[in-house]
Amino acid sequence: MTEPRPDSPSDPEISRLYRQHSTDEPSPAVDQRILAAARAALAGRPANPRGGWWQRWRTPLALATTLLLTVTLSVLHERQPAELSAERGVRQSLPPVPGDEPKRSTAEQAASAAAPEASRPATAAGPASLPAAGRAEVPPPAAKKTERDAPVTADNAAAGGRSAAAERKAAPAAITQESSPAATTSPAAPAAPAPASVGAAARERFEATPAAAPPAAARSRAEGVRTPAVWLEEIRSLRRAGQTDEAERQLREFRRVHPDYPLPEEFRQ
Amino acid sequence: MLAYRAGDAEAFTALYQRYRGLLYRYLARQCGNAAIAEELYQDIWIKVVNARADYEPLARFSTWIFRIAHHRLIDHYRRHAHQLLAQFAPNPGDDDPDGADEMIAMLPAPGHETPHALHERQTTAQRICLALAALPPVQREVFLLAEEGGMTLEEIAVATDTGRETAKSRLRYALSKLRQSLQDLL
Repeated sequence: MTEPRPDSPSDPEISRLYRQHSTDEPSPAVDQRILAAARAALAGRPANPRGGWWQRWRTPLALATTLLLTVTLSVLHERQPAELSAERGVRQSLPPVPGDEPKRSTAEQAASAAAPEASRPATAAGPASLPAAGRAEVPPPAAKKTERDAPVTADNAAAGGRSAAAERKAAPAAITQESSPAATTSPAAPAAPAPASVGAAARERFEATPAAAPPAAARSRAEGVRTPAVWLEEIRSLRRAGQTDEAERQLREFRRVHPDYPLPEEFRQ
Repeated sequence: MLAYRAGDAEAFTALYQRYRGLLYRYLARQCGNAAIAEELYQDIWIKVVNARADYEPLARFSTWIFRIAHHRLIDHYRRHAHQLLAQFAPNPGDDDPDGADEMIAMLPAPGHETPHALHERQTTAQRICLALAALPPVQREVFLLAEEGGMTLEEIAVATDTGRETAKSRLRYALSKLRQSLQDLL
């Protein structure tokens, strides 16, 4: 018992009287129940150091786990956009995969159709530098090709477009069929500055057409690529070249494909 | 208690024998009913048994167990006697002697339980019990903690969630009132 401090109120007589007459105690039955419960608790879970350890450490462990998970997710989330942009950059810097640029092969085929022998070195020096068979399925953009192929076509015309056309005519039918989709999509050729080369290319294409007409599906696909303005320019070129029948035929086809397109004054007659 | 926590059942038996009478009398005097006192008494010991894993010897065992008893009593009063609970609530004005005097003045005077009338109940023990019952609960509690628990004012203050001066004031008034009630027995 702790010794009371001097300023602690006390009354020894009251304390003595109280202790002399305070002898109440709990019943033995209650004593037995409590002691039995205490023993049962020990028997059911002796010492139980693991429970104590877990109770003591579970909160810090839970906090540490949550913190670790949060940091991991944050790091992953921060790294993901950078990796994606890097991947995008790598894909852009890579050479185009065959099939990614459908317009290129048609224009290239048109160039090869216009000058099969002369244009071969020029195309071989292109960025794709793929075999000819593979390049036939890799169409470059039409506009780019128009500018790039124009000198080639002009050179070809200067060298004698007629002979090139004759060579082309004499080519096997299989080659003609292979290049026929490109022939319909050769509107790049009329955009070239030299009318002679345009006429050669157009003649070449339309002379080859009766021998082996392109399938309707391929034709419509090629027409889907050709814009109305380019088509009209091609028709205009045909007229200038004196091929009025072919020009009329193209115009009718144009009206069928683009019935709502407003025709220029010169085509309304 | 540390030995019992480590698995020594005999340590608990020794602890129980040391505190069984003290705790029981504290409860019996406080609630005034033997049956309720036994029920509370058993609850408190079961709590001691269940809390053995978390027990830390931050204070004397008596302070710890009587603090549990104090809260168990408040819980009992909360359920059964709201008016008594209000008297248990800590009151900062208790440190004011004037406020304590007012509280004492509102209680039945010790003369209402005259020694003669109490003597008619045949035993001095009964008179003591009645004198204790006549005390305000907070004063009775402090007196019982000092007598039964052997606790200092600081320990009483901790066990009852009050200040030391409050405990001191309560104890002083409790002794004074008991002396007046039991004057003929002293």
